[in-house]
Amino acid sequence: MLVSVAIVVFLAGGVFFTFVSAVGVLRLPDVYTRAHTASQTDTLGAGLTLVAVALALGLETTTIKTFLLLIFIFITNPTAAHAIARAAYEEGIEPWEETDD
Amino acid sequence: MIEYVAYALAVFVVLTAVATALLRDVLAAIVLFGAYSLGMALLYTLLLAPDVGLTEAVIGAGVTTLLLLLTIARTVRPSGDRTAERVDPRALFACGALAVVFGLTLPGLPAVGDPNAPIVSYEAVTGYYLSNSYADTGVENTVTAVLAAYRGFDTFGEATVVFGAGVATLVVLRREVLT
Amino acid sequence: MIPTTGLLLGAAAVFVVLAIAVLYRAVRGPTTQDRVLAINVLGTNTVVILALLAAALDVPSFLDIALVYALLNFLVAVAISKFTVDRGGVM
Repeated sequence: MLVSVAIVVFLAGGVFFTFVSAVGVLRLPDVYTRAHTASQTDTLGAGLTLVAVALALGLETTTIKTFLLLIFIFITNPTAAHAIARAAYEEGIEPWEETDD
Repeated sequence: MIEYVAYALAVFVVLTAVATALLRDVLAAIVLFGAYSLGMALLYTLLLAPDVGLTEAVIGAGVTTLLLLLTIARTVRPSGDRTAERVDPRALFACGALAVVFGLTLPGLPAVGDPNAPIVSYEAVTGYYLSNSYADTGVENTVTAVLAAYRGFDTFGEATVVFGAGVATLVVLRREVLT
Repeated sequence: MIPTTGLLLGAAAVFVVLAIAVLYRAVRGPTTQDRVLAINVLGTNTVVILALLAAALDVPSFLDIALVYALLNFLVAVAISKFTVDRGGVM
């Protein structure tokens, strides 16, 4: 029972943060701010959902794969967003300023 | 519940396919084709063909994206400010008619997991594999057993062709870089 | 007892809908980096959907595919970023 409640809580958190990241990617003004939401909110949303998946799978050897996935996403997602933002900067895309619109 | 996931995925796949076809910017089309592959692989996995899904992910999203990137590195972008390609109404009509014709064959296919489908009910072949493949080969997944053990030489030939194509690509690319 | 299977599948459906929404950014751009970023978010969503399906349908082997996906997603994002930088803004 306690496990079910924990699954629901983690799932709700994961869906909420992924929703926030989708809104951020759609609504924020330029690539740097979008990279910000993609690296942080999306990582947290994916992480929480993966914890829920690990709880739902229970104590099995395959659950280790979920934790590998979790660690991997926590490392690679911000790294990829950083690489993309760096590529944008080196290509000369100007950051958005409040006076722009 | 699961059919809603499948429907949403189908919408996603169709949207990415249309966007890939219509975008004028080649690099953007390549990026979107990667998204198409992701959705397609998810759909395969959802229909319980994880081996096909894995292949689609590796070939479609990984290898094809990299090959196309290497290709457009040696070509130019189309000029102009339009984001979308212009659509010829006659071509659109022809494609739509073709899609309808293919769609008409869909009711002839057996349902997913139908126990009375011809491929299942033809016991002489399917039944043999299902009952003997583990004893013959020691592979748990029957599809993998057929591909990698019963048809081992066939798959070996395919792998040789892929290897040859990869080596040829590398040779061509190396020559391009050196000259 | 809360029916977790339905919840997991429902969460997967929500994630697919969010993926369709993020697709708008991948189509609109305006810059290539925006598109790559959107694809990166889409890939992460895909990995999470696969993990949810693995738990909901009780097929742990889906997690292997999810692992391959996570690797590929990172590879593609970094490859396109490096590629555009190396081209010196021409592409």
